[in-house]
Amino acid sequence: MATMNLNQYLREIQSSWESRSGTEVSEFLSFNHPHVMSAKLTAEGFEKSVERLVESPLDELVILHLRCLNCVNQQKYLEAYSEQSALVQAFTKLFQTQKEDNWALFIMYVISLDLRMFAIKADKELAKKGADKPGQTLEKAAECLMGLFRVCAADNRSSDEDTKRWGMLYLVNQLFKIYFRINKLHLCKALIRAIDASQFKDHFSLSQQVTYRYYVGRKAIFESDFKSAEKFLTYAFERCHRECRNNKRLILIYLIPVKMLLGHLPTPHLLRKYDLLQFSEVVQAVREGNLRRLNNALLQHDAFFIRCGVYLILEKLKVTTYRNLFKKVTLLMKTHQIPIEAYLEALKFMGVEDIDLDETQCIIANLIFENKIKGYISNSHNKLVISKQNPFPPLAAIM
Amino acid sequence: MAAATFVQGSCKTMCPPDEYEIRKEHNLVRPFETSFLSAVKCYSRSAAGQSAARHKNIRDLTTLENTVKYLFEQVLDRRKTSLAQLYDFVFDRLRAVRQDLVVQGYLEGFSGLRTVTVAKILEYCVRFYIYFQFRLSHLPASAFSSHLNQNHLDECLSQLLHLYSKIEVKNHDLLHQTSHIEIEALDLLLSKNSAGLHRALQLPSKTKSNTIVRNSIEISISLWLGNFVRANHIARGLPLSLQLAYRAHFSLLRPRVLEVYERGYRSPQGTKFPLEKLRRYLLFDTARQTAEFCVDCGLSLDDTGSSVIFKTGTALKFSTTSQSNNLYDQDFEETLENVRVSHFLYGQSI
Repeated sequence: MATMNLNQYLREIQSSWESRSGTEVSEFLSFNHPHVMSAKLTAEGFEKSVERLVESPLDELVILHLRCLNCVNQQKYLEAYSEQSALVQAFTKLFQTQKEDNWALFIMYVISLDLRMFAIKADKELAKKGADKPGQTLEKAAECLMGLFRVCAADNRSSDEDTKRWGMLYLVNQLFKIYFRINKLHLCKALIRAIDASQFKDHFSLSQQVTYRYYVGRKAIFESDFKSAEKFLTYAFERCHRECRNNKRLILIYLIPVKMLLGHLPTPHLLRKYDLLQFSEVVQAVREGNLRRLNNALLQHDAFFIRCGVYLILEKLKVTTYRNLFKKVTLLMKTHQIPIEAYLEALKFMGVEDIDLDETQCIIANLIFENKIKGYISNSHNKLVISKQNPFPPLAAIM
Repeated sequence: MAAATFVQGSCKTMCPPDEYEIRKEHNLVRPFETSFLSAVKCYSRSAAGQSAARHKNIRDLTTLENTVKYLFEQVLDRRKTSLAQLYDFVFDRLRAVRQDLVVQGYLEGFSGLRTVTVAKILEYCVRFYIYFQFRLSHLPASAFSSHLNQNHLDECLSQLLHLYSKIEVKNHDLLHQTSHIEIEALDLLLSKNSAGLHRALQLPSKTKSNTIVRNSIEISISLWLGNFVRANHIARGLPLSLQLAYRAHFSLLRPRVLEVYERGYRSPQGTKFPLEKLRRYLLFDTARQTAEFCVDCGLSLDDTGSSVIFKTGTALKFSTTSQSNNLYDQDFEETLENVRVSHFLYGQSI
């Protein structure tokens, strides 16, 4: 394959096209396939050979693919993107003309993926040259893919077997990857609505569903909708194939903080298994109600947490940590009317600097507001008066 | 917008002669504009039918700089009339300055040192909006539109951040000639949701380690966690312009702050909470304003009128009350009275 000669390549792709073998054609148009290593495919005059051996409309796709390969071989990614983009657009046109037929979906998958990959490389090239709009190629790629998406979504007259709508989730996932990368999460909303409305919602392939839930879960985190985030990310984690360790780890990076916020701490075993020891210190600190330890834990791995986008949720764990600390203090005091000073002393003991009664009261008031403490603060006696029944309800029950 | 549609301004006076003639004829000259030399181009929605000669009515960059200088030093500093009227006039004229910048493409491309000059002008505008947001907030909506002022502030900020990112890519060193640290911190403090925080956390570490930025991040996180006391405390150490911005943002949180304290202190028998204490938490200037705010929200005061009552079963209601946007603070007001407006706007005051 890696030394395939041009004629052989052309004959094989033509024959696969004739027998409507989507998977085979897709291999010949994919940059993940070994044929791309053959220098013979882009030898001079290849276009003439294509015209000779390959029928329309496949010939256009093949020429663009080989042109793209040529650019890639010279490491000119901006140009490679250009060719790939033309290929996707040509494919979109011909795909639309294939009525009641979806065998070409396999081709759609590989060329979309390659489009995104080249867009990323093209943007890197542009950045080196000092371009002022980062991610502009990716944005264009997204528009290109939206064109394909519309063709798929609009195919509602065909039978369930032959409809192009089966391609929707794959494209949505590609688009999610772009939107997250260029930080335009608000564009995901319309896509989520489209998938939610689809009758195939629960019948797409499992791997596509896992990817979908992963991104929707991450979006929910960004919008502080932690209950939904937990639902989506748990699905993704549980259904993600055991062998895709990297993906499982990625999901956990977001699932762990969300579950912690909802009152469930991960076991050391889980953290070790998936190489996520960055969270160990955080977990310990929250469990102990130790503010200083939490701050240090966040500081120690702040670059990692910020890069992944979980830093802010972890900061929110401070509230859980206060709650855990105050619960301990309350149990120690063995009374239902605890002087606020007791909490203030505990905070100081745990290394919180520069804190006073005012701030302590503010923290407690917030905990009561969030239903994490059942009771009220008596201003005149400067005491927290707690309910005799279950003053510190379990977090999982409240959220 | 393609570069071809940008105009190169050639007007070298603060007001294009044509416009002055037209306005004079129609009696549209303002009291500030005693002669042609003190006339300033006003804002107009359309650049109606000017095509070929358009450039004559658009001021070049140097003239725009001088116009801003004039507005600040000769109009605002001189203080010949009420603040509200000064604001009205200068707001409009600054809007026209910004418009002239836009049509010449200064907010799009990168033109070396000129882009730095443009950034500086926008920075002055940002401080202008913040300054007056604070000083006029106590006026009724008919005299000062907080909403409109806020919109222009937001627009200016996003244009500035866009310019900074261009400068950063093309010629990083030039960034030091701007006040980008102050503006990044401002943008964060004014941000209405966590998107601002997400952005700030991803700033280069050199920027993040700057005290002002670091404190602003800590303030924003504290607010996000509901720790108003800590946020207010740290804010007191910020430079003046940032403190004013913080106050402006905080006023939007007052309903939430009240909700939290009401919930945290309310008891079945009714808890009395001193207005003086609540005043500090809500960043109001007087106990009376605090009382008005509480009553507007559906709460009752005790017999002495010095405490508000938090009692289980009360339903709070929030609408735009008379006091919710009031940023007035005696100490700040006094400080600002003693600072030259232009100094503040140029970023020279602490």
